[in-house]
Amino acid sequence: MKIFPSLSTAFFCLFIFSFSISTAQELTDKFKYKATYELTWQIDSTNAESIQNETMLLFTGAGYSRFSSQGHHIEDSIQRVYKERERTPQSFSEMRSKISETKFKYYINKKLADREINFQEEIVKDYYEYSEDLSSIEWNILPETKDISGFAVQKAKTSYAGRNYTAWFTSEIPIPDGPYKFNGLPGLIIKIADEKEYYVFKLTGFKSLKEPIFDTESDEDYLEVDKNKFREIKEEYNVDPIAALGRSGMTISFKSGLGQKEKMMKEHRKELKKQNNPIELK
Amino acid sequence: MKLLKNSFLGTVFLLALGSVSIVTANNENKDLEVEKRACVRTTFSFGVTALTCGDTTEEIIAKIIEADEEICPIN
Repeated sequence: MKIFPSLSTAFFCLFIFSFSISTAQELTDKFKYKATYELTWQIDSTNAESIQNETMLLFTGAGYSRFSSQGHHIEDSIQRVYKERERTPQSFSEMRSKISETKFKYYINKKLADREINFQEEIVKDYYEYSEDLSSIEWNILPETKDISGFAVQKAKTSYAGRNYTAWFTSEIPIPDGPYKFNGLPGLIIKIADEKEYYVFKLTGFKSLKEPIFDTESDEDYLEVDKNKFREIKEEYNVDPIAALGRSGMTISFKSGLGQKEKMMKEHRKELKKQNNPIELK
Repeated sequence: MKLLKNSFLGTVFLLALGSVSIVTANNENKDLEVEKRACVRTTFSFGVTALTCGDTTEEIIAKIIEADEEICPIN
């Protein structure tokens, strides 16, 4: 019995086999660690009581990483499973009950060697992404050291998007990565905060993944735009979210004569005013 | 016929959403939650109309988008 009908088939199979091994290694290297950060932020700079907390996740490996809120990560995972299941009212209710609220619905993917990031976010029903080269962000590594959460850390400073940051990194975890877009230090960032402490990321957990994560790519088709265009689209949505719904085929019929739309828009504008302290100022 | 089927499926799913309620034929919605919160009549991109309720504009809009995304792909 011939195992391979021809020599060329044998080579082809060998090629496929080697390709599978190399791809598996590449994927294995992708996300080997999970770092958990607690983000504390003050969304209204005029109100010290507007401080909020959220758990953020960084999946990282030798060359790549993905950062998001824990809520968004869970929501995406659950929705992915839901899409593959039979759609019944029970499964829909079950899915909704498992989803926790998040204020951050973005992903930040980093290519650590090149210090390039890819930012992805959904606005209404459209998926947008932009790339950003962060190699121009320079760190000033200072001699000061201390201990944070059991790690020996060293101080570093940088400026990004209108804020001055102080970071504490550890060479005990030699991964040049950190929360949000921050990267490029000779060790994982354990804590980073802007000088006014409006945005503070602090490591609360770090572990090696028993099973490295392979499939983290989104099923959605992202429309690539530049950062300025993305901001423009987001601003347009913020100014009039009701009109943005209309552009995606959803319409709201307001009760006539009661000024319902005006009331909703007034309330929205009031809320927007309170959200005056984004992480990126420029 | 297809529209009818989609409307039925949409209705079933919308009823599963806690604060998105289908407008009944005689408009007698006895849902207490609907009465105390702000509600708007929404027509989703697949043609089904429902009441979407929430405490804030942001919450209402988020619910509309979520419902539209999760339910429309069944069409």
